[in-house]
Amino acid sequence: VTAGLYLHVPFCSAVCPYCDFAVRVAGPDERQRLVDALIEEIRRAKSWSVPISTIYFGGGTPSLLTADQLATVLDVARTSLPIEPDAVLHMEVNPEDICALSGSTPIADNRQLSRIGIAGDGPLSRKEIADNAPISGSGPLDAWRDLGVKFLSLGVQSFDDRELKWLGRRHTGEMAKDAVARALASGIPTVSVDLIYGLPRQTQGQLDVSLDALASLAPQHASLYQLTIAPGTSFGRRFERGKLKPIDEDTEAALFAHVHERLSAQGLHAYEVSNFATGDAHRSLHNQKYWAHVPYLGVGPSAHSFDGQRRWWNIRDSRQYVTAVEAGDAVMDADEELTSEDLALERLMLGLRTIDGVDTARFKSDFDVDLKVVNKQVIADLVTRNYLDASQAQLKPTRPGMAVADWLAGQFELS
Amino acid sequence: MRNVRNFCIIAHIDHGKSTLADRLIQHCGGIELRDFRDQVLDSMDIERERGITIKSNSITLDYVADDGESYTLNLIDTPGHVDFSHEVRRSLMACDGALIIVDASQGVEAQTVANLYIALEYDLELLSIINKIDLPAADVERVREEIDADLGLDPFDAIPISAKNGIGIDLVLEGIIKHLPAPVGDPTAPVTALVFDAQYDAYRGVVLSCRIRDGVLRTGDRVRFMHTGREYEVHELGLNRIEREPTKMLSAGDVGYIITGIKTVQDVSIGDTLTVVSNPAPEPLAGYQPAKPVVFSSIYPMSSDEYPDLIAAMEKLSLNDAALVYQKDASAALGFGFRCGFLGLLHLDVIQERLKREFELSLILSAPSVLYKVTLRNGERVDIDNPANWPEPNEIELVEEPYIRASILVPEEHMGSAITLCQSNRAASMETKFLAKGRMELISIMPLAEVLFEFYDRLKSTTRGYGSLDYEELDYRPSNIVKVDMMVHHERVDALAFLVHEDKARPRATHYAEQLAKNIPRHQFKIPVQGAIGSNIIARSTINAFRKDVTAKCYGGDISRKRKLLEKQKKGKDRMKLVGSVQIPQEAFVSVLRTDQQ
Repeated sequence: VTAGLYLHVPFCSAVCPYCDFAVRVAGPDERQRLVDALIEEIRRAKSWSVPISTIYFGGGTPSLLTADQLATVLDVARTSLPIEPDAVLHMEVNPEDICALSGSTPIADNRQLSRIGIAGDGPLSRKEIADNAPISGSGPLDAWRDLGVKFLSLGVQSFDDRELKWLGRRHTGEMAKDAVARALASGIPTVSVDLIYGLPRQTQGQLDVSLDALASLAPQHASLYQLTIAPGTSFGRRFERGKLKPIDEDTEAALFAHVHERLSAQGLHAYEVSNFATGDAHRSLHNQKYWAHVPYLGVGPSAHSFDGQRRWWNIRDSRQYVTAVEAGDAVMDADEELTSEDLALERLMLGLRTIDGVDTARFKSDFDVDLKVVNKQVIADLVTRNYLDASQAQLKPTRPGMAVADWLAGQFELS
Repeated sequence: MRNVRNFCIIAHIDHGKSTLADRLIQHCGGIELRDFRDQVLDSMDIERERGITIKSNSITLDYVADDGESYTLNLIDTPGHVDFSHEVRRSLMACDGALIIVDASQGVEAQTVANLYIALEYDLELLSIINKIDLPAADVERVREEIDADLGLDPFDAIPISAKNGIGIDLVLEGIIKHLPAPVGDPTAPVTALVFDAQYDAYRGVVLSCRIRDGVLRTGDRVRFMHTGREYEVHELGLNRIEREPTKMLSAGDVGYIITGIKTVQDVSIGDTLTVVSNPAPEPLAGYQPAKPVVFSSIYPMSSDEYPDLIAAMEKLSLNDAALVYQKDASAALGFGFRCGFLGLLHLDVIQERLKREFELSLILSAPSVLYKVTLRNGERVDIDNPANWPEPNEIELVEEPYIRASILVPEEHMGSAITLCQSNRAASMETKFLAKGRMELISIMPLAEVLFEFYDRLKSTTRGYGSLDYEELDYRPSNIVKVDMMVHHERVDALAFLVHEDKARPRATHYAEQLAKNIPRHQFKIPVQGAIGSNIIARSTINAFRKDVTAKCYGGDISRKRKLLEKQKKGKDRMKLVGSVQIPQEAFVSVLRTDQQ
């Protein structure tokens, strides 16, 4: 078993109204302090002993860090932690960060930024936006490729300008297409396009605008997430005030099925509820660690870690996090010791999200529960209803089963 | 006896009854200032919160008047709501006079007029008080005119005060001495004592509040309740001050308490007459009416493991609430509970609130029902208040339902909407009367059942809060009543069945079906929710099968949160009621049943 290393870069040029991650808008000085804090936290994590086979720069917008900053963090990680030489490096980037340096201009301006409601220091000035330009020289894609990035995830969200505007994004559909094309041409082996669907009143036809673009660009990987309206976000507040009506369940279900069918037809196969790849080689190896329920080490504000028994997580607010590191204080916010029942439930609910399913043999050896015996009737019933495939050693969700994976996980007895 | 005054305070809600009572108590030194809790007479939290008084209470005060003589003042508190009209009447029977409060800014209100009529029925001498004269909107002269015109009382006797600020309290006390009569009664005659209240005391058992009409009652006397025939020995008697103050005797004209070792108030008939066994009075006092329940509902605990707590709570409540009647009940959907009878909707509400607050129980209540008289084809006559006992339609010859004479007092401009409201609630006949400037009374003969469903709230909202409702039961009249069953996925849900007039069956069943469909979560299959009379479906709604139930994103940070959510859902499933193959959450029952209670 090998682990994953997650590095959280909590900065964005603006905070999107749907986003409930720990993100904020910050200038170059604060970004450098964060980089120093990440390095310090990595140095403190010396006791981590599980070999690491994947590294993931997530956010936020890791493309807001310079190539030098990213390289420094990686160097320290490689010397301080048991990182395997061929560990796969993943990175999340925003389309406008590729375009900006390729001659296009980000559409972000003060008015738009303040409308979206930026957390932290308030709207950026034009100069600050210019200062955001992260990587200079031969272009960011080359720099990232040279850094060793093997999996590049582009936060496209939509190829439709109206949807992008509503989502508070700072790029257009054309910019996104340009960015994806450039990424595909860069030599980075896996390019992923991230999309959000299930927007209020979205029809299949509207969604097809993005799916058509996806089909013509033909990336090796795609992540399609249904819009989640989370409390505490701008959308969440609009929802509470009755100003935002989420899509109805039936349409959402129809869109889910449509996405899975269309992507499958164009050779992007679902290997998890929201993730698709042209082949096993292009799956997100890092994200699979979460669903496989293996250890991962999280570094940076709000990052979660798991060693197989215990889960702990860092201070969420990035300024508080940095202050704690600089003061030599602990950065852990809280932790949780998982009981055998907790772990069993997690294993089941995570496994049922993936096409690989729950490995009943591993389940039995870890938790001493033979799922197929204890839940004989439940499984028979779920198979009859075409939610589950139990023909092999694994319990695998069918496509309709994947659409109700949460419910599915609640049907099993675990003791 | 010359120096005794027995009186009560009559007021529209919020006109300051409790505040004035507090000031009188304070002024007479009935309580130390540092011990003073606002609104001493209202002992229950619910009463304080709603500003209504539910149980009668009395307090004895000492007052030295301007004439230099010492007086004993017995202030008898009265409930202020239509459900408790029996208790109002009993309390008034214990008085010789009444203070009638009018708000200096709002003037004479409907309920004031209604209560005035009741007071006049009992020949009480009345003294009007104009309260809240310190308010900027106070118009004492206009209110004096209204007292003259609307109440027919001498406006020049009216005493302007501010109970809140303690202005004019001395004038009220002098007014009580001068204008209200001393009791009349014969201390040498056989004892007759009116029992107007009973409270349960954890240490002493039931404590009776009594007004002695004739004779002298002493500790050790053996007494008999003249209506029920039960006999007890007087262990202790005395005066209700802030604390009970034992005395050797209570004589004609006195108001006080009696302890006889009765274990529960269920054994006491409020309004009954006590006499002494060795020298009994020939006749009980007039005007006795036993309180009888008119509204029925089943109460179930949200979770069946709370049933033992519910049993204990009901036993405890009934110790102090003679009007509450209940018996065990069981529902296939909701498990064990109690079928209860109440004096009215407010009584039901109060009991529900007390169960919730004092006993911390979460409850589900079935739709309230009245008592129907059913004649069967075989000639048998049965009384039915519970849909579960409703006969098959083909066995029924005739159903009769209780009618009331509702008296609705409204400002003239709202009369139209009050009439419309009564019409839509099956009023058999209506009659309007002008009372005084701009005030009207609508007398509506209508089914009691109609008043149980949202009527009072609608009256309040269509009259901007000015409409008041009082009613008395009139008679039983033939009616077309049907039983509506609610079915979820073709299974009848017994707790949701209701009895209703045929004309109202469809709209109510539709409302039920829609609410249930909204509150029952989707299942893997399509669920029809239907309302039916016998096998005839009259309303239908559908819960679609769920097709999607999965979190979009699930990574490191979300895993703990998502697991906890899943655990919560699993626990929630245990609390759902299983009807056939459908899990019905408590909220679904509450969504339907609560609507009716409010």
